[in-house]
Amino acid sequence: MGKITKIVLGISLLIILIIGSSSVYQVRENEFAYRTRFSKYQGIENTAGLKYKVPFIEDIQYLPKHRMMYDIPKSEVITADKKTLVVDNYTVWQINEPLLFMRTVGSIPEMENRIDASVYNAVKNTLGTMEQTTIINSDNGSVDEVNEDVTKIVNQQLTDYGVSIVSVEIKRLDLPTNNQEAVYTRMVSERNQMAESYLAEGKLEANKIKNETDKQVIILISEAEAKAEALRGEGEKAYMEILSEAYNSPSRQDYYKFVRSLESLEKTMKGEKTIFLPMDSYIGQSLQGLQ
Amino acid sequence: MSQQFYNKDDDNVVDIDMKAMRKKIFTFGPIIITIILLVYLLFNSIYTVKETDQAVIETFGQVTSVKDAGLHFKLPYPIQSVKYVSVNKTEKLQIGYTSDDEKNATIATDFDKTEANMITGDFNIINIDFFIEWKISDPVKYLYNSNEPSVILRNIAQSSARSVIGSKNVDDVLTTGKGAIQAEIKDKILYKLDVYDLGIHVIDVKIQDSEPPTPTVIDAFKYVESAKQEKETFINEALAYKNAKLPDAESQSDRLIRDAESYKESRINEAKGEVSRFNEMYEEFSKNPEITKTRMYLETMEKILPGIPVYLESDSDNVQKMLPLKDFTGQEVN
Repeated sequence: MGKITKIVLGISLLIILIIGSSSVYQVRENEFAYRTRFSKYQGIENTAGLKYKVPFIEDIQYLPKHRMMYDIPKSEVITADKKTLVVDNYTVWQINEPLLFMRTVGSIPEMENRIDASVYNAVKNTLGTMEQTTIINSDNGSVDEVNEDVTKIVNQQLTDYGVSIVSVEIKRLDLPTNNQEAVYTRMVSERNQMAESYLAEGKLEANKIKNETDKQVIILISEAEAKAEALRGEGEKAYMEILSEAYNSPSRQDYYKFVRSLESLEKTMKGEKTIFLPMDSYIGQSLQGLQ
Repeated sequence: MSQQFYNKDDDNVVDIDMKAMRKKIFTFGPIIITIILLVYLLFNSIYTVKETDQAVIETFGQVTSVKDAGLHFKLPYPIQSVKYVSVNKTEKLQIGYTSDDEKNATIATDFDKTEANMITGDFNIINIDFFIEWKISDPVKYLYNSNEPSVILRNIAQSSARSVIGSKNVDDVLTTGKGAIQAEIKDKILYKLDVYDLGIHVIDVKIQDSEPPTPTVIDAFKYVESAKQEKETFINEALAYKNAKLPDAESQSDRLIRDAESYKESRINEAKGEVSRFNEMYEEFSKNPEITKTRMYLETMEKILPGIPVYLESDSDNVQKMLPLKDFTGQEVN
């Protein structure tokens, strides 16, 4: 073989290599391949692998098949009760009809603009019919419902672009900054009021316990006093019963009266006292007898 | 466009070598080409998968197999390529505070500082920091189902937390309800991950810190806590008062009753004593009533009359006669 033959062989090998490489292309798992011939649509590849095309005259454009997240800028919405809320959304979406997508939108940033507009409107309209408290308090699942509703609306609006909206979610829901200060002030006052009521409750309960104690003390002592009086009465009664048994005959009574009056005479006649006695009393008679 | 897959990867070496080789192509060409090709094939066909990873093998872009740790063979580039996914590693995603962790630092700065602020169901704003531990559950889905799985996860976590916190009142979030809230957030995230199909599994959601947003508000919350304590103190003091007073009153009433009982007994004894004395005396008296009576009378008079002036009244002549036991000057008269 001559030199020329080798060169020709080398060049033709190179040409075959270039043509060969230009007639195959690779599609990944997360891609669609959009094939055009002189910018005219030829076909879509939606499975991964090695694909063939007409070299040089056909062009391939890759589109993402996977889910994409689009973080939508924050926006303010007005609620039904004319209050402002700052809403921060994100959307997860994917292209499900690449041909339709290429014909109607053509690029991801352009699609994001449309998603932005659609979500903004849907959120504004949905939250615009709700009261602020209903939105904030998601106890009855309101935020989840809003998410579902908005997703549905946006999906309907964007279905003609060959995309599907997996979900639109509210990731943040805030009060405007100037409202926040008011909320903080309210939180403080709410807490103070709670604290005061705890203190008052404490005092009230403490006083109740003390009052109840005082009451119990008074009851206890008065009961004891009553019991004591009854016991004393019993004592008096027993005293009288025992004595009355002893004076059960007239002569005993007579004697008792006599002795008792002498005793009391003795007890009372003490100190500077003067006695008047009738002349015919026993002592008087004795004294007269003496004169 | 069709050239793309040549330029896509890192095999420029081949291109440079090719240029250099063209000069010598007529001399050592075939030999050198063969050697280089063999070396290239050898190094491009062997790969190892680390213990923490799994490898996804693409054949012309199509996923054909997933390999576990170890030494493996593949067809050389551009036929097959390998993507490593760390499936056994637990990743940590922090929300609400900036971490010193290098990996998270870049993410954290992307989000504004108020990320931690959330509104509770009862219209309180609180500051809540939490982290999520997650793992790749399906390497193929992780690679191909979405563009930025961890960013999506972060957004899912925020929206789930927002939704759950919004259904709670502030006291639950700050104190007692943490466990339940964590579980609820985790459930919500898992549910959404299921919908999004990201190939991610969430292992744990932990609230690290939850507190009121500003120092003034924090003080107000602390004031409530101290008021609660004070309330308890008030009550305890009252209970102490009760515990002191009641036994005191009981002992006092016991004293009263015992006193009365002793009075009763003493009264009975007194009566008994009096009766027995009376009986004794009466017995004596009844032996000779008149004499005893007179004796007793006189004995008593003897005791009381000395030192006491006595006046005698006469009914017959209405003239008072004073016994000269004591005169008006108070002098004793014989």
